[in-house]
Amino acid sequence: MFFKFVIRRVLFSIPTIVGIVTLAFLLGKLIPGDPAVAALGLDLDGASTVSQEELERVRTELGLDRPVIVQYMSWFGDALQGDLGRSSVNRESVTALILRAFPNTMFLLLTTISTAALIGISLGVFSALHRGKSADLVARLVTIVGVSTPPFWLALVLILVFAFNLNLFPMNGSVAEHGWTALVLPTASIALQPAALIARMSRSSMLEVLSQDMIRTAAAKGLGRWTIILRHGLPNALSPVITVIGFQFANLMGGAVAIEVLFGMPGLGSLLINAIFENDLKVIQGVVVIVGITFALTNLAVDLLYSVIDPRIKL
Amino acid sequence: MEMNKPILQLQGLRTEFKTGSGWVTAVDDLSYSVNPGETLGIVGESGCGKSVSSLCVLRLLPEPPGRISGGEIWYGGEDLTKVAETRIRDIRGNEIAMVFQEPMTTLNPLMTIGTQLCEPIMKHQGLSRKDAMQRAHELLQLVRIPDAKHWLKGYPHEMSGGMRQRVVIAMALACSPKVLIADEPTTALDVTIQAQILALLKELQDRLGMAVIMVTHDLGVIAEVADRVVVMYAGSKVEEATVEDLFARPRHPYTHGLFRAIPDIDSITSSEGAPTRLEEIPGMVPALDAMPSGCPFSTRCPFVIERCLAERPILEEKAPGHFAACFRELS
Repeated sequence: MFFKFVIRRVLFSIPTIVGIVTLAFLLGKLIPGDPAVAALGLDLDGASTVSQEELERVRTELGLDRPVIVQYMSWFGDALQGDLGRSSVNRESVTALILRAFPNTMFLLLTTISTAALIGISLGVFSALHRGKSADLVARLVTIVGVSTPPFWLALVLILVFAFNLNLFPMNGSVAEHGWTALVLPTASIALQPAALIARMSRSSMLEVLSQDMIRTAAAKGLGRWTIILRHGLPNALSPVITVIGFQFANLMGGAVAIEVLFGMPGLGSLLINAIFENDLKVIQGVVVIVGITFALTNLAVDLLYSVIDPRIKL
Repeated sequence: MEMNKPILQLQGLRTEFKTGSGWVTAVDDLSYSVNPGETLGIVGESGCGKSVSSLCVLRLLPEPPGRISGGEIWYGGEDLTKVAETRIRDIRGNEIAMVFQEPMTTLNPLMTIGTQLCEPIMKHQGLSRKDAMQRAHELLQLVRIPDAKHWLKGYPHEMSGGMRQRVVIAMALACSPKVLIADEPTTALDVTIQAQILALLKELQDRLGMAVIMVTHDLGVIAEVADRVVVMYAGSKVEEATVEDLFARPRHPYTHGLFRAIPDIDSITSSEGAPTRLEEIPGMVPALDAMPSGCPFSTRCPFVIERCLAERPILEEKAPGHFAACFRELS
């Protein structure tokens, strides 16, 4: 039963992924400038410095002289086989570049979303349990500040205080260089906003569940306060919270770009920014594909998680 | 335990709710008692305080906005309004259990029926999960759920309303309570299922010898199951009698009105064949924060006299065992 459900959901995400790959292809067609010029590592002004024959040669080499539909089919076929082309800057395989960067970004994102979920849910439940009291007020104030703080600005402040002044954490660099301490400041910078949003959703969802009849039933059985909250309350409050977590995780991929650059961490964000600066179209397309697929898989994971939690969601 | 010594006794219970305009009284000076093996019916329209007062017995009233502001609830030698939180938890679902109105929402949708049934058994009787499951299986059979073994692993959403209410009853009976409080247990069910559930409750009561407090707005249910009846209006008890006495001769104008409001199959149409209007009690229950100074029913009472407006009638014994809070003698 559950297995069938999983298969169905996986099949449903295939059209999404096809769409992502297609969009990445169209992106290449819509981007201003001549890809052949870009492939030679020249900017737009440099186009006049190469001979027409040279450009033609590169176009043929890149297959740009073929009809668009043929180019699309070949891009699609290559992508299916994991071949996303080569970087025009250093001729490295895009897939290899991405495979090197992807785990770094994922590690950062997973650390961030787990931290945000843990803090957010705890804060939200705490707030709900103290509804209307000063503890709730303080917690809600914290979430409002959290939602309104731009991650980029927060990152600068954290660097200034904890790296520059207090020297507690490295100012920048990768986990490979500094170990887990390298993760603390980047994680803190991008975890605050999702944590605050998760907290707000947890609070309202928990409040709604706590007012339901089943909570009274649980109390009438003689169960203790925490058993009621954790076994009967929280699981029932979780569905909308998981939606927010999934959405925030997807959102974080955008946030990670700036943070990776800011903290000098190797990852998809740094890779993308460099590719944009260097007009490295293939790498940009590759990152778009991989980020898109991660998005689709996140949605899939959220859907599967719903059905794990709630037996009413099946088929 | 002696049959005529009350197992549960409310004395002068007073409950208040906080509203925008301050505290309003939802239950005012309510006293009743129930003997072992007896069924006490509590009847009244919505908002009369019957549910609120029954929630107070197990201290399940949400606080805030509610609070018990006076009175005592005696169970054994203990005043339940004063015992420690841990003690009331030991009593809940163990010695005194409750069945609620909405079978659709009283069960946890994410937990199997078996697990939900096991919770009170494991908590109060200290059984292992395996033994508790065995007991849960017996309970489902007791409330006549067909294919009980299968349903232990089932979820509430897979069941019909009637089946769910049976599960809720099974859950309440899990630890063989001495008192069962049933708050409108059949209101959300259709009539045939209603009859089945009432018959089941009655049978289980006879078998287990527990006292039942049946809270309902339905005089039909009262006639079916109750031994003694308390009639509540606007937070107070206005009449109390055995079910026979009450139905034979209601002594409070409100009870009188309730009986007249029951449609009669023979008089649905008049002699000319034209439909007749159902009788109703004119007016509305006064808002809790706008109670008249005299008798709370005076604004709607067809028998009202000067004295009713100035003075609040207290409960008096109009006939042996038959109490009513009214200055008038209804004939």
